[in-house]
Amino acid sequence: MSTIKANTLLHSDGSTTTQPSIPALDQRMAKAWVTYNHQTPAILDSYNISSVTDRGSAKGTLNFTTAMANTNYCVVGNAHDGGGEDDNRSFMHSNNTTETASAFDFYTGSVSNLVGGIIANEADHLSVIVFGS
Amino acid sequence: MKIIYQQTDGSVAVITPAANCSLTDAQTALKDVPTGLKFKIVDDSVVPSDRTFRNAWAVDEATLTDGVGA
Repeated sequence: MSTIKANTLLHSDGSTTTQPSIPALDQRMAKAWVTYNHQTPAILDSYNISSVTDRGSAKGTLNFTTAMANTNYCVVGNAHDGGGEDDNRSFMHSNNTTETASAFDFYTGSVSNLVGGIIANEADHLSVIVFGS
Repeated sequence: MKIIYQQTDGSVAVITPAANCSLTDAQTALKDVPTGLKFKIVDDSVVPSDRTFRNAWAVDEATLTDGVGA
């Protein structure tokens, strides 16, 4: 067994943006992530996200710069609106809409005691991470 | 900058390009606007900040002259 000790690991082209390939770890690393304010709307920070589409109130699409290998990828997200205890939002996949290798449609909502379910409600901070091939 | 297009149901979509993406706004528009839909690249200030009636926003398709989604 060997141990590599180094302060910096770069791709052979010397770039700080081109990723060196580590095949054994590839499936364990995020393929994309984004933090997004749907209300301004603005992308706060991201990786492998070319853009986010605001498709209407509480509805959006994550567009990947480099597409996934297939549609079996895993998307995890959370959201909130404001800083109060009751300002939580749910992050969900939109029904009957896009989930392709290059884009993922989402929807945010909040629990309504009035209607007894989740209603569309925008978030000022979404955090989403994507794993996959 | 924002990219706007009219969705197939007539409503307006607003695309926010990622600042750290290597693509230009035009390249992002061609890639991320659905195939066959016309788009316009506009300044952020063109998009209303009041989202109270977000789903009622409309756009004149004749003004979407910067390209068509690939």
